[in-house]
Amino acid sequence: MSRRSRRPKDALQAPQPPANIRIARNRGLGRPSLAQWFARHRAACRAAFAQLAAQRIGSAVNVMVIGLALALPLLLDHAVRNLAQVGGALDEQRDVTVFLDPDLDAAGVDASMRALLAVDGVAALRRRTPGQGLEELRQLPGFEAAAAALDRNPLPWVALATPESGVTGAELAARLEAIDGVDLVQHDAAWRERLDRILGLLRRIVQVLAGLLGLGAMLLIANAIRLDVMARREEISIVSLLGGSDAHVRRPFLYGGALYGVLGAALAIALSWLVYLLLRAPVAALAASYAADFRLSAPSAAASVLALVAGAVLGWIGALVAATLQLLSDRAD
Amino acid sequence: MIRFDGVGKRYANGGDALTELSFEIGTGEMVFVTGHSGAGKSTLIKLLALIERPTRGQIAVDGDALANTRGARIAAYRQRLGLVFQDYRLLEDRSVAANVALPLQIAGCDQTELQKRVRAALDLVGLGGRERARPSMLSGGEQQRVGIARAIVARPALIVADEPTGNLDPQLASEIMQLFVALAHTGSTILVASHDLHLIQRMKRRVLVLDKGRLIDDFRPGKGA
Repeated sequence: MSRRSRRPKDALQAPQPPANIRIARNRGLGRPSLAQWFARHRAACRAAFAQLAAQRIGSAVNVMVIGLALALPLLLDHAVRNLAQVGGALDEQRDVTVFLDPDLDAAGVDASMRALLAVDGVAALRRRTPGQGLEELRQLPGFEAAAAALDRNPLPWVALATPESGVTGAELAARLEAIDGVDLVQHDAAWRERLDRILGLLRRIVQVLAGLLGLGAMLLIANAIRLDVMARREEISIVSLLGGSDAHVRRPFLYGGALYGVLGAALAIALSWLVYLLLRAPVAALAASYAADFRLSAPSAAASVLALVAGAVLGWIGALVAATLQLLSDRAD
Repeated sequence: MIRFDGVGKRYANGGDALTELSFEIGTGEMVFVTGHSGAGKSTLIKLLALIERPTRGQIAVDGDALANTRGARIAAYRQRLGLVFQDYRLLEDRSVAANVALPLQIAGCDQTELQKRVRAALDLVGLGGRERARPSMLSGGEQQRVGIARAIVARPALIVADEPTGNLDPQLASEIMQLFVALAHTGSTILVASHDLHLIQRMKRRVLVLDKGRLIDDFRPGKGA
């Protein structure tokens, strides 16, 4: 029953196919060349951009929702970094404040100061006279009138002891308390420790929120991609019949998901900069009213890069899951 | 090139679409498959395109048993086919050139070569200069020519057409069939399913006649059945 037709000399001649097409045809499942690999990915990337551009409003809404979801952890992270900066600045002020007995005479004060300086672990000691203390009190907002009302200076001599490197403020405070003439030793370790714990808690909250909102963004992207896949069923069916593998069919959707993620992250970064620019001046004014030299730091480049990478990865994974499940579901139908 | 050996296909509803179908088609041969509606023509095409699987028998293409072609191998196999559909199956939101370019994009063809090949395929089917048109701007015959250009653009070893003239008037149908005959001279193996026996007989090519899923005739018009 088999017959073979001869090819006539005057046959209609089709142009010869390009070499890579022959390779694709003959190799079947053979590994594609690097050029083919790039060509496929370029085409998929272009298709993803075209798809987003074709649905401008829908894509913009998706990007905004994803951007808002990613902005919250980014802003919280920024806030925690700034709080840590406040804590860090205070931590540098490790001086231990020593209040001497107010009844000490000048000779007693000198003797106590010498004894304090001789304590093991004291790197430096600064004196503050009762007069200087009163002057500082007058400088504090709201204390001017109170200082003026005093008929005598009730403030004691104060010594500010700076610990040597490797000696904690708490250790030094314990040693200084034992010196004669010392009335009170004040060290702020407890509240700094509390601040550290609060910062630790806030960091953990940021991590949990980032995880939850990242998952939310991923599900948003997955849903957007699922709808794209459903809307393009006919196209997918045609591409599949023409020899498009599952990977080929999925590829534009994966780029689409990554694009959603990157654009959402870019929007989140823009929002964090906007919040920074809006709050910078009021925060500086508030700090100045407390005589503090604190300035809000700008969003970090590392956090921005991390947000972009996380957006791309979340988008890619969301799209992979959605496209795979939808294709399987369509195939089952 | 193509070998059907005792192939049967029974659908889930219990109906036999094909029964004990056996034939061979040689490389470079052009064959028409005809029969009434429900004779099994489309099922035969679906089996060849791996849209359906036979419930009995073996199909081999180029010596490879299609039963072993599964998973990712299906896509690789389909890249070796050129499929033409009755309803054209063109992407309405893409230009003629973009539709024709699809198999080349799937194969990972570079852009320069792709454009050259698309122009050549469109010239071959008489649609040179219509690259930018949308399918909706074309007549039925022109849309089918785009479908044929898409089927041949990657120079497949096997072209399979399912009722390619089913939606066309007699004049256009004749032109499309002539185009397939012309393509047969390029060396590709061509299998065309059509219910229009009178049109097929004018082409003077081998004809397989199906009836209720069985092969009832295998002849070449003008050389005696």
